[in-house]
Amino acid sequence: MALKQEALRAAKPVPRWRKLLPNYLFLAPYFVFFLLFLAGPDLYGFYISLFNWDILLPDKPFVGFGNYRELFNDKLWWLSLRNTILFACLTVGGNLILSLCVSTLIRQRPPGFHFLRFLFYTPVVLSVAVMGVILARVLNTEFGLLNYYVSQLGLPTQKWLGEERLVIPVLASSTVWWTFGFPFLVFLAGLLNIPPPIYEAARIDGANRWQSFARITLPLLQPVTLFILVTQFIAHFKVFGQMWIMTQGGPGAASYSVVMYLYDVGWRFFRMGYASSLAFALAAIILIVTLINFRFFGRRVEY
Amino acid sequence: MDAMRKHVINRRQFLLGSGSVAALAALAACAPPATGTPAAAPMAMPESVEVDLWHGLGGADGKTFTELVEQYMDENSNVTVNEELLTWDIFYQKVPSAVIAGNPPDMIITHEWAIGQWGPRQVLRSGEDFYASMGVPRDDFIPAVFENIHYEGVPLGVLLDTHGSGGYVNVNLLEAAGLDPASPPANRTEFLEQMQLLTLDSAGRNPADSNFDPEDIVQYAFHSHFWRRWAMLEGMWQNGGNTLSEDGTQSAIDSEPVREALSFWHQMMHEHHLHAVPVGYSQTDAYQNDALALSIAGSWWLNFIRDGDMESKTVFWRVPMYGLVQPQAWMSAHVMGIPNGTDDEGVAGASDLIVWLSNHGLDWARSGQPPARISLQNAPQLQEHWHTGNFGSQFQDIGRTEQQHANISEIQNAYQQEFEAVVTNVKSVDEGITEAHARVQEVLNRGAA
Repeated sequence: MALKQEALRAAKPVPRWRKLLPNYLFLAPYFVFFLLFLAGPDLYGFYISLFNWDILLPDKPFVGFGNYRELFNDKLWWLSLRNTILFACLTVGGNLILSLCVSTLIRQRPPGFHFLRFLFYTPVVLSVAVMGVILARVLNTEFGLLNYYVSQLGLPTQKWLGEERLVIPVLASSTVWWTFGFPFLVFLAGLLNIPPPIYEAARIDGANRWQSFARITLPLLQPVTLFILVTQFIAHFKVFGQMWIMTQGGPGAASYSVVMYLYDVGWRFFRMGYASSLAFALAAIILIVTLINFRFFGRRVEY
Repeated sequence: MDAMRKHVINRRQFLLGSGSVAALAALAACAPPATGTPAAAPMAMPESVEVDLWHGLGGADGKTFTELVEQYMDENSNVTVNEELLTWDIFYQKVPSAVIAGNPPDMIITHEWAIGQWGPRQVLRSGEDFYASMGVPRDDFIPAVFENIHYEGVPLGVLLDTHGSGGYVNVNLLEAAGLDPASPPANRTEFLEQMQLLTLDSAGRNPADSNFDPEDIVQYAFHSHFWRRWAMLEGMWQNGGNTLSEDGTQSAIDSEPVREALSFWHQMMHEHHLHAVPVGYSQTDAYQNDALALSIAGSWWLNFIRDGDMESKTVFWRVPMYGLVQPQAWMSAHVMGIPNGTDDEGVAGASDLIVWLSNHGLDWARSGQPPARISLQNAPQLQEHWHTGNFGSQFQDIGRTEQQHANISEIQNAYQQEFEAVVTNVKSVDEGITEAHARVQEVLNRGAA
């Protein structure tokens, strides 16, 4: 009898929750931190955005979606958004093209491959403060290295950071120099993962180098490209340091970014409620851009 | 079996429970702290005390301040001052955060213009005790500056100095142009005549010469250290204008004096070529390398002049009369204050240090900053100093402070961006004035804090 009961117990299926419990326990530490430091503050930030929330005043009147409505009439928000989108597009585009070109050039492991890989990645380790100070000196109108060489070539010197038409492209170029090492490494890893027999088969079928690149390399790099696009857009939509250090948003507000505006509104003007609504509006825009990227680059290509 | 099930936590309950705990913890962490207790009398000085001091004196005057703090600790072995130097931007962000979090430093050094926004937000304790019982004389400060550190009639600290803008003149460049450094210009006409001789292109021609090349300037006549605010304020004040109406409820930026001042600065940069466009230009490099004749800079530049061995080539000029009505020079002050929420021991230690620093204004003057107390500013040894004595006299005679407002940072940001857009040719003078006026009025309409 006892044996029968034991056999029955042994045969009884383990409840589903018991099977899943270890998974949840492994997830729990991250989940707690996620709630405490990401989801919680995000929800609280949204709550703040519904108030006229001066961080130092006891009276914080509820304004509903008034802060979001104010956004639509706020010229500085639209200007900073325009600047940010332009900067992000130029930087991501520059990073994508440059890193793809450079990684394609050295994928055949030429002599000095390891050194080149190290060299191209080196600027990434610089902090934004170091990069900003160095480049502000290089781009200085009167004493900068760039204008020195420009004048040596007999060309007119430029106010690189002092003219509206130049400032965002110059900041974007500086950022590409600083950050392209990361997408370069990711592209290189993606390129080295493409099996050589595919290229051999294409060559046997008469494909030239450009056709191989366009029909094999680019499609097979699509997941990598998507990863780079998504992460780079998210990173560069949040641009702050370069502009803060090199131009302080100038000339005028020609390089004033959304995050600079958000910082000013929140920490210098103490309007945390409105700053929170700016943050959520920016997050929504980043989400839309990310979804667009997934829509166009999210297809999987297999050979 | 049923009894056992009662103790089972399903996934939904687990998520709900974890979420609730996390949300409660997050909300608790973000809850506002208890408000501080202003104007409580400081306790007696403890036997041993640490004073956490935050400031942004990172310019050339900063090293003098650190020397002064060390001198204080040498004289008061029971006190340890933990000095934390922040950039002013970070300082103005960190102080309110620390006050909200209930963990402020024991003492801060802030600016006089910021009292207008600290006051209604209760960042600082009352400083009444300093004057009522700790021997700091109320009537020994420049009245306009002293008035600005009050909120609703209560002083919120003690003035450390009176600082502001003034002229550093490169004697060699003036003499090379045939000018006498001892004869500064008395009005706009004379100013333009003199400055015109001091901007040079690489062939040594000035803007009065027919072949002058504005694309090849190697030496500028003058430059203002913080163009976007001080120079514009001085320009409009000298024309009889201001940014705000007297009661602080209306923007006065679309007035003729302000428009004229902005046009003047635009002309200086783009028509007369006497002043570099102030973006991507290094005034310190230019002055140090004899590429700038007159540098309108802060009184804290003294250590920079000394360290660069430039004292022999530099003389002081008052802020020139750019305007059309009256001479005016921008001035402000550093204010020593105690944040709300500081504990009694910290208040006692900070109070002692503040009084000591106030009494040692002549030592602080080594930095180039005229001490706040008029009696010290007028001390013979200071009056004879080529730099600090002249700065002090200028502030007493023609110094003017910025108008206070609870949202002054936002107001400054609004007009500075628009004015800079004008001088960099992003906008016309009319567009800049219109936009600046609208933006400032919008801040004012939103109401004071």
